[in-house]
Amino acid sequence: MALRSLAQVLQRLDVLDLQRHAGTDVWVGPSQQHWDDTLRSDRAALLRAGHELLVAARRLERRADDLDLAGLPASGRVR
Amino acid sequence: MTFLAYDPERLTMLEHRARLALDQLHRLHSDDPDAVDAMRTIRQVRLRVHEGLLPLVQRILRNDPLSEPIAERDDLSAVQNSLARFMAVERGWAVMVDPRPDDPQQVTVDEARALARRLREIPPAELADDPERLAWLTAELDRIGRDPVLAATFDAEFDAWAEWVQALAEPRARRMAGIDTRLHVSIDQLDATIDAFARVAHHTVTAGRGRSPALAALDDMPRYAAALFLRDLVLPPDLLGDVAARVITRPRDDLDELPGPNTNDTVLLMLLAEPLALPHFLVAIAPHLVQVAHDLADATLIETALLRGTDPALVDPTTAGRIIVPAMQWYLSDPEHSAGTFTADLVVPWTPQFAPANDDWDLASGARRDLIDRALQTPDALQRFVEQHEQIVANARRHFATGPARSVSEYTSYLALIGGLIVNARVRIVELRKAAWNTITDLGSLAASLVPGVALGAALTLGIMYVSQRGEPDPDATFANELRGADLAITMAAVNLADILQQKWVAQGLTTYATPDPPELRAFEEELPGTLFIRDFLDWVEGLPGGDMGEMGREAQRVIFSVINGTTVGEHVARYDP
Repeated sequence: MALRSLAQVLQRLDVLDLQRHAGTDVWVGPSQQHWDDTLRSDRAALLRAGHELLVAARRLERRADDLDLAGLPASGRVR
Repeated sequence: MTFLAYDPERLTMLEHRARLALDQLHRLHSDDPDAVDAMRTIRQVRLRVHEGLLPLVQRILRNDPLSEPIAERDDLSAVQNSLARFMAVERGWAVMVDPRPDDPQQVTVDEARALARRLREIPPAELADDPERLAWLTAELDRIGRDPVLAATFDAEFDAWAEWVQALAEPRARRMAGIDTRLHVSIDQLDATIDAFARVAHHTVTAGRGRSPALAALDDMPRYAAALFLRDLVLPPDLLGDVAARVITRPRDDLDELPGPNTNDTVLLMLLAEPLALPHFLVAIAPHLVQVAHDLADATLIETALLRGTDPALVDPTTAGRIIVPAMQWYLSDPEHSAGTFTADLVVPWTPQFAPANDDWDLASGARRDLIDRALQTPDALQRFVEQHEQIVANARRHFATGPARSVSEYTSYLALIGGLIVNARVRIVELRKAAWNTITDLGSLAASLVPGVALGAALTLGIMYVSQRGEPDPDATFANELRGADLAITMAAVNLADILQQKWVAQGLTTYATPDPPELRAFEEELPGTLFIRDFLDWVEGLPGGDMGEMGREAQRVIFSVINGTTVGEHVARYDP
């Protein structure tokens, strides 16, 4: 999967909403607290990964544009 | 053992959503070298859901929940399972043993709320002698008290402050008194739990400025319990002082009868650690000083509190008067007390307020004079007073230099007061006699900054230094009456002023070899020094260029007669004549 597409998928994953469905209106106790923390940090990690993919995609797109301007073939990796 | 409570339907929904999320994560794939980190994160999340969350949820749903009636399970009724118990009893949720142990570092809003509700149900005495459960409760309250949101949540649900603090304070009082050695918990442990309750209450008490349920509960607990709770509430100084006064002026109760530090000791020790609260407290308890002092196990605490609470750094003169006057009236009227170092220490910072012409305090000059006389009536008290002569002079200097429109007449009445208080016959120690007269000399030098027209320059400052080096005027200790002391003090101020005028004229080049020297102090003759000075002064003025109508003569009369003159000499001392 290309970088930009993967980034967009990461921002819409169902797992990002899982923390909302694992709150204290569903269960309470030490396990709930543990999974509340875990799912919150997983959500943050996935969103961060998606953001980094977008940054990488933009960087490659700018390089491709520069090569176009110079009359050289682009790598074609970014779609 | 900790428990897990759950809503089976919602947990089933969570299982379903976890499966969907997992399927989605399984489908993600990228070979792009720039996606390596992202794919690693995806794999880790997938693994956690696949091998952690989903199996746990499935196991919970597959297992039978506890089948026994919840309310009958002792382990579930433990305070640490408050939330699970509440959800089971109030919401009908299923309950099972949680495979994960409780994380003591973590408290949720729901847990804080459930704990508050549970503590309303549990008889406090059950925990008060159970070290293990009390330690757990203390740690939990401690964590709630560190988070304003958790504290507010707890506070909104909790209404048993009085019951809990009382249940903790009673065994503490018995332990302190050494009459109940069977208790399993230590005083430190009980203190820690009271402190933890107070930390939780602190947030809403300070936010509500005295209108929180926890603060209102102080009236429902024994005085001793209230004092312990208040000690840890960390209130703003004015509120702390007012509330502490409210507690300490309540009638005594059973706990106050136990030996050892009692309510009054506890309150005063707390306030001595928070000096800014002392003035508010002392003003409020002033009408009750007899009772407050009588009930103390350590009687010196009230004296220390009065001295610290009337420190000029903490209070303005008016507030000081509202404390010092009733304090002295109480102290000096008690036959068990005698004027000693305490009364001397109390008046030293505020001697200008005892001057007849001062009006900072709402008390007639005669009554003020009576108070300071009685405060210094014993040799010990007077000795203590004189020992602090540097502080007396420094406070007077500040008073007359910075006070609003201090008049020369207030100053001279003050000089007469101090001069009258310090007479040789009463200052028996030779070194102190010198200090006493130096005090008067130093106070006399203040005249230069009060009398209009006596400008200070470098040369004149030297003049003052010269004047203040005169030392004791009465090495033979012949002054034995108060009237002479008062007269002498004012005369010394006049002598100082005349010296300073002379210095000024010299600096201005106005003097010649024929200009006479200003009059000196004649302290050892039969007549009053003031009478002799006026006579010498008038002669001096006649000898100045132009006599009493010359420029120098007129300036000398205006300056000197502002502190002493022929018609009033002896007048301001006569009123102190015992």
